Amino acid sequence: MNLGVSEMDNHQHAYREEAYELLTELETSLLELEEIPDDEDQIDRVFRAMHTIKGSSAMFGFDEIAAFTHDIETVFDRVRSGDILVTKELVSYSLEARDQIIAMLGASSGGDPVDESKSDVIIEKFKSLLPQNLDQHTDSDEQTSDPDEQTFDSDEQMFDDTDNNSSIKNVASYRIRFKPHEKIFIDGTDPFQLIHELHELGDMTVVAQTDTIPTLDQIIPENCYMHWDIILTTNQGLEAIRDIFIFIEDACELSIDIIDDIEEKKLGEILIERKDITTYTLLQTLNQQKRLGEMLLDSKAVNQCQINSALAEQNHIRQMKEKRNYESQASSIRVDATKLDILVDLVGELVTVQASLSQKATTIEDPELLAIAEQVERLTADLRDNTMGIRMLPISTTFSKFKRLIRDLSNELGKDVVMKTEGGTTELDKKVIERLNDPMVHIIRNSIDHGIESPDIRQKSGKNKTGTISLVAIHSGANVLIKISDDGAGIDPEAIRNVALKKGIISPDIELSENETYNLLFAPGFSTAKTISDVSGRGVGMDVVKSSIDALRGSIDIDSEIGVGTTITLKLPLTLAIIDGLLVDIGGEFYVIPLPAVEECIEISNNDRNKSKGRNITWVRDEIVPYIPLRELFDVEKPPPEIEQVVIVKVDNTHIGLVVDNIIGEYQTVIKSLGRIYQSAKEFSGATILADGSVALILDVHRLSQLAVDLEQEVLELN
Amino acid sequence: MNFQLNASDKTGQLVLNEPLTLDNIFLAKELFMEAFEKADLVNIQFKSIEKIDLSGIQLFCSAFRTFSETNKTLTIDNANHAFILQKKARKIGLNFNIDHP
Repeated sequence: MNLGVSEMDNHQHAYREEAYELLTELETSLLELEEIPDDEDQIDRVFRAMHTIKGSSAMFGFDEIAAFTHDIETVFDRVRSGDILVTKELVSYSLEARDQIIAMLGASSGGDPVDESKSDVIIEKFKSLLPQNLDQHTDSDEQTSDPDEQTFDSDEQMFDDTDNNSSIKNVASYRIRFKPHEKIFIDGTDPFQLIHELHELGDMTVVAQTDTIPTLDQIIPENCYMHWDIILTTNQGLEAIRDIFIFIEDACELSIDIIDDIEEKKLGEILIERKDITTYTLLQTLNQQKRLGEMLLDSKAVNQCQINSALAEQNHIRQMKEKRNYESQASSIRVDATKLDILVDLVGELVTVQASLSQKATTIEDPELLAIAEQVERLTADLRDNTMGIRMLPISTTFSKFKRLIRDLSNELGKDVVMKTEGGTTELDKKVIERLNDPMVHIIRNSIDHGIESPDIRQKSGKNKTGTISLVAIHSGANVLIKISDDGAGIDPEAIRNVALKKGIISPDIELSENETYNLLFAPGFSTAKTISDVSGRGVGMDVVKSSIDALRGSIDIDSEIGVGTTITLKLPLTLAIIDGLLVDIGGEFYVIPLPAVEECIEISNNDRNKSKGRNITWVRDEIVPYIPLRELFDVEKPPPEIEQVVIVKVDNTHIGLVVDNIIGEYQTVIKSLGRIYQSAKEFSGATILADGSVALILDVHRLSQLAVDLEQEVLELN
Repeated sequence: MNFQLNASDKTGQLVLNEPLTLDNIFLAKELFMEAFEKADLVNIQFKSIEKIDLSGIQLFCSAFRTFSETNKTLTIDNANHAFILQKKARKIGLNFNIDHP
């Protein structure tokens, strides 16, 4: 293989992406494996991940990673063959190894250099897991445990290496009937290894036939009496199967038949095809009333082993059919995330242009043009929804990361904590998910550090010594609710109040509801932790969590009960790219208020203003609502209309009013970020282009809400 | 590897603590035979057994057949090490249940 520099760069870039993805899956599999140590599927997944990383690393010049991964892969091959058991130690070492590979990948792309001695320590740990007599592999062991070691110089082999199951093209099912000669053991051939190699080719069902094994008084133990019926579904072709038996063709009875392209067959059809019975026998037997298998057994046309084998074939084909259906639905291609972002931007532009077209068509009142504009509007809406859908990711991609965090942190703090998740398939915009990581990490760390008690304390208070952290995602209109709950000690509102008083965050005479008290946790510098730990408790964090969630145009809510636990609910918009907005006019300029925050609109006249004696408050069904006259805030010079409109928005369970001149109506808002020059304009979260090409600023309701509360507080203090 | 008989109730214990492979399969067969001939109920104990090949699995199948055909009982103890046998058996298409082999 001779690759040019840029081609090699492209391959290395693709390799890195693939490796990071595999390492993420690897972490998930390892954590699953820790819970169910004999889960063979997970063991296979871990092995395959290591095997692919090793192969592709070697191919693209990442020799250190290849060498490092080789030893770990070897251990997992031994796990696969049942020589080594999965233990907590093995999982811990594997997670360490996974982190080290990530560090190596980072170093290879200009990151911090890797501590090589750490690699050696990890490898030594793995070696210590090998039983003494398994540490030294024979050549033949090496070959069989790693059958496709020689294939890494093939481009095609690179990213689907060993993942025979992923391709549904050219897949066929084969029935292999393999009966070795009696003396095969003495010749040095182990049929187990042949079956192992077949397994590498694809999905396989093996049925061993043991009916010919004699009793103890007659058995010659070095003879082979067993034979096998194997159903293999693979895309590797007949030759690949034959190759496995190439050296023992003369020492066995072998038949390999292709079974019709994954068609589910009835038991009778299979037995006839195998020549185990004739059509006549079948028809004769079918005239009786019992189940076919029982009837055939009664009539001694076949024995139990033959029935079991045929049923296994039937079951295999059924499973393959289901799997193929699933894979056809789940088939996907890899697309660079930047390309998706560009696509979303372009769709945004198109939505804007379409709005202009619709407006023009309405103005001109040309029926033909109106019809075209309507059609374009419909298509644009479909395109927009589909494009936004492409960027949606299941939240489970984020949830799975936290399992490791919880595992490591609970070990570090000597606590026993398990994670439960629900609603992992709930989808959120990729950007929201990316920016959700840090706030969630902080909340979870707090839950483990301050929420979940140590096992002995839990037991003393009658709780299960294992604490639980639940991550639940729920769809709620244009939002997703993420609930992070723990069954720990709960938050003491009195303790929060005392700290807030001590730190001067609140004055002693202020009365706060439970919710308002919890919200003090988001004040900068607040912490109720008695000791500062590395995990949390420095008073830096919850305010950052709050501002991160605000920046996502979301909200955060705390609910807690002492001794029972705490639930923190994050409410997040489904997407950050296009939102439903309420278009308003202030002094001839247009602004957008995010629609999900809008509760209602009321009118306000000069008379109403006079009633409130200088305070910016209004009454909404007996509730006092502070408002912000936006024309004052934005220094609008034009005179206000006689009657202004107050848009009531709800932010963090608080109502505030935004006073505008006129309400234009709902508007599909394509969000554009503001340039650096507007960084100091905190009241705006972005901008959008209107149908006529003019720009409307999008109001940041969180900031404005805080401002309204602050202004009202100032007025109260002055009075 | 050894076999210990409790003559009073015709029960015995077969301890397997070496690889059950072609190299010592004859020795293993002798022990199974002795156990079968002398006891009605034999319990197999795996002790740090690290390797079983196909000849070993075959011998197990033969032993279970022999015992069951004569209404004698063969059981396996110590699931930790027996796990190796179960796993290996499953890989070659044998539904080998430790509790009910």
